[in-house]
Amino acid sequence: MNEQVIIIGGGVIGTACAYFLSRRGLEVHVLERNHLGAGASGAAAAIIEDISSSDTPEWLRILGLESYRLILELEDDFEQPLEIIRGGSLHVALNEQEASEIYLFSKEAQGMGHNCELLNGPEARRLEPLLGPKVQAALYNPACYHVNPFRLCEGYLHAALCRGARIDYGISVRSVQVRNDRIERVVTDQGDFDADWVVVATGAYTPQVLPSIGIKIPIFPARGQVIVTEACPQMTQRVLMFFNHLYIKQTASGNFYLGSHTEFAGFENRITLEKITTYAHVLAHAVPILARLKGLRFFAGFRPISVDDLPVIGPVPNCPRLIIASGHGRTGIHYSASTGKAVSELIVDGKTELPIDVFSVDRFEKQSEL
Amino acid sequence: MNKITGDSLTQNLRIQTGIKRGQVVEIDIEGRTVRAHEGETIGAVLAASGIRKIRLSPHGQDPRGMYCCMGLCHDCLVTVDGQPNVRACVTPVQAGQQITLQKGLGRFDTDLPQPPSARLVHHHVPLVIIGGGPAGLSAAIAAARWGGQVLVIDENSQPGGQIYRQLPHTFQVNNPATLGLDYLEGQSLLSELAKMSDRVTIWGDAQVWSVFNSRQLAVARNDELVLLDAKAIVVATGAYERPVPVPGGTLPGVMTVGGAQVLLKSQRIRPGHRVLLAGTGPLQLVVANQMLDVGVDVVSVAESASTRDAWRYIFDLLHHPRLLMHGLGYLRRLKRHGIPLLRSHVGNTKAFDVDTVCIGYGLIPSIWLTNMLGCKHAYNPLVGGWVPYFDNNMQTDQEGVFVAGDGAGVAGALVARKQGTIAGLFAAAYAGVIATGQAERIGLLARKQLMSLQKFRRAVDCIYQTYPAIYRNVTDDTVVCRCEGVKAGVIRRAIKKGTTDLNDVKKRTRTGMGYCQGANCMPTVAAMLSHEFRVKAEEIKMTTTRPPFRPIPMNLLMVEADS
Repeated sequence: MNEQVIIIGGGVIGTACAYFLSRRGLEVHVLERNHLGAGASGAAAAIIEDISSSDTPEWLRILGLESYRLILELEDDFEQPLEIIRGGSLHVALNEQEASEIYLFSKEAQGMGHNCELLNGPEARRLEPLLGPKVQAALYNPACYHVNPFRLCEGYLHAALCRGARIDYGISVRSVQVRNDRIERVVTDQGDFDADWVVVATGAYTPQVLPSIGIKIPIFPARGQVIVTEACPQMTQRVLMFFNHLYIKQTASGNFYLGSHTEFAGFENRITLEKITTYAHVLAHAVPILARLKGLRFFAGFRPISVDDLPVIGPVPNCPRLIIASGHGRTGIHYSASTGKAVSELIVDGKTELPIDVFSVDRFEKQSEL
Repeated sequence: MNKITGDSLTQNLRIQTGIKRGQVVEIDIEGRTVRAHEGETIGAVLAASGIRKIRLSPHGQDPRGMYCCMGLCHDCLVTVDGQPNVRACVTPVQAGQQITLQKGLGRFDTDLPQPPSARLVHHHVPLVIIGGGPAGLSAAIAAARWGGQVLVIDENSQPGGQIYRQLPHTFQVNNPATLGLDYLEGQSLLSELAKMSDRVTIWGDAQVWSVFNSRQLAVARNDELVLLDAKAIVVATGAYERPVPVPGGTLPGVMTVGGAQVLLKSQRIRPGHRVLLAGTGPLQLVVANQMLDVGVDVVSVAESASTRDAWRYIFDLLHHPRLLMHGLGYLRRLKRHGIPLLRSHVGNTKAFDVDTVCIGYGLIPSIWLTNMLGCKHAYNPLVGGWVPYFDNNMQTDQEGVFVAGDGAGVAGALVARKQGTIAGLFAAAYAGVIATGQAERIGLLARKQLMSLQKFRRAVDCIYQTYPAIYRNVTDDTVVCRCEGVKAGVIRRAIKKGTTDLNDVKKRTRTGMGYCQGANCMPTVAAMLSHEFRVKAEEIKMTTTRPPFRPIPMNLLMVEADS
């Protein structure tokens, strides 16, 4: 197929789409207005985990599992290692209330077939010596790893470039013009581009790109603040997760990453004392050694969260050649591979291997009609 | 005088004349008992003990020593009593300390007791001055003289900044004349301030590390997380050495010329035995003379500016004949002692056999805080860095935020003092201590002096401006990011692959992700963008300013914050 695809957005979703589309032989052109991974992809925890509860929509779980496996396989096709650290995860309870919730969670997860183990405080600390005495219980899930999100974006992109894809930085898309079922042109601040297909992978900025087509997609920026500490020798391979979306991981370079709540503060890229002291407090009690480290830098990122917490993947109703791939919330890195694969299947085969109806673009309108 | 009990060479590094160090304390360095003096820094003791290889870097396993000597570069990290990553150059010795040298990343002794959680403290003050150097102290004097309550925050244990560095309290000064004019000037400023101690509070060892809610300063002080609200803020945070990487630039024994001066002034340590100074600017002439005074073998001073250029500015220089004579005096003295002053050209090479190299290519204003306060900045090609915009009253484009001194555009101590006076007066007026009209009248003399000084200063800046040529020796193999060990070749490839955005370079290569958070590498990357990739100065965007300003201990964040 010699068709031209323009991908708007050079984050993990855009580069993943570029990767899979170029593998299927299409001509791919990525337009990125800033630099690679300038949005949420560059501020991500990049924790990839296979876990679910009875609330998890089935097709989300299946998409997630496929992506979990794919990323591990894809590393061989990439120029540089992804800094994959496979130590599993511990979901930690720091008080009795949390412990009873972890207990319920463990029952559900085991019921769904996950191979996870419920540990009491002392058992958790034997498994993970970094945990301190405040730990009451923990759920150990071996099916979890983390990567360097920037390396993942670079990996996808470089492999795509090797297969003939192009990328231009510093180009802002103003509008996508459609007529009948076809893409007429993509209007940017540096001229117009032709395309047979357009993929919109602009994360939290998606609502800004779409008004020209008259569709509204409820994706909102969800700010998350991160603390990065000084580097130390590798002390753990595990991801430690706590309630309220807090987590600790140690990267391949030895720094600890501490994050991150979910706040709705528009695009206000600020660090707040309230948040960083909250998690410094919680996490240093859970992992005592943190109190001895120095914080090196604090930053914030904006994850694209859709109103129902599910990604938005699929063609736009009145223009099937315009495809949205956005709204992945906190799981963009994780779902990047299966999203890229699904988008490539939509374009090349006209259908996807895994059902993506539950992620459809028009579900919000349908929901509001009900 | 010097009883030689060990290696005679190392005994010489402590300067003895004119002072008496504090009482002897014993510390343990790598299992060996070493005699030190109260008030000395660990770095000074290491230097005096002949230990120049302080650690092996985590990335290249290459040896590092003291480079900036003032707590910025984090190359001199040692482990003290089980706590790793302690900066030797700014940490005082204490009796019984166990110091070990680090190979790679510092290891955390998990058995050590937990540091205490910090207390959250709120303060409201009418006027705060950040930086206790000549600008900050002058601002404090100006504001306090007219009745204002002033708080001065300084990151060092004693005020004075760089140029007016004082000796530790435990050192006894027998002959102040041996310490140089700057020491005496500093003393005089400090004693003037001491007379107003009912109105001026000085916080030492206090670090502003963030700005919250656009104006609230977060200060790390002892075991306190201080949130400071001030009506008027004067930023007088000075400047720091322009980093100019060269092959071998990370070797122990290579330091900044400012760093050498810190060792000389505030610890009375000779930076080395046989020293080469290379760079540009009046600072290296000053430091060469200071080394001469204490018997260091100064092998040569290499200057990249041309004397031909100097003649073009002779009229501006003659505005201050005394200053000019002073400068020429430094040159004459070096000549008299047979120290060759070399004009360094691109293309010519000369080898010297030395144990210490002091590199100094001028200063860059420290603008982290003005950035965090939302002030507008412009790139100044003469300075080779960004400077905040300010008006005749030293007020930035942010109401109530004033700047003074080298942080406003590098201009030397005399200019700093005049600017500080003006900033202090108008900040006091803004805080309601005096009427604006009063500030105008009182500040008139300082303004006049400032205008004439600035002509002189501009001339000096023009003569000594840095040229692209100084970066010509940055080969692909040269380390640019000292903290993360990133070489120029990697950075060049990343720029070619990606964009000319410094944030992009940072993500691709880890440049700027280490302890100094880009202070010692980003100016070089900006220069590479400008000269090798032809990016216009105005288009080089600074990396996004994020807290903390300096690494802060996590236990300081472990407070219950009220909103």
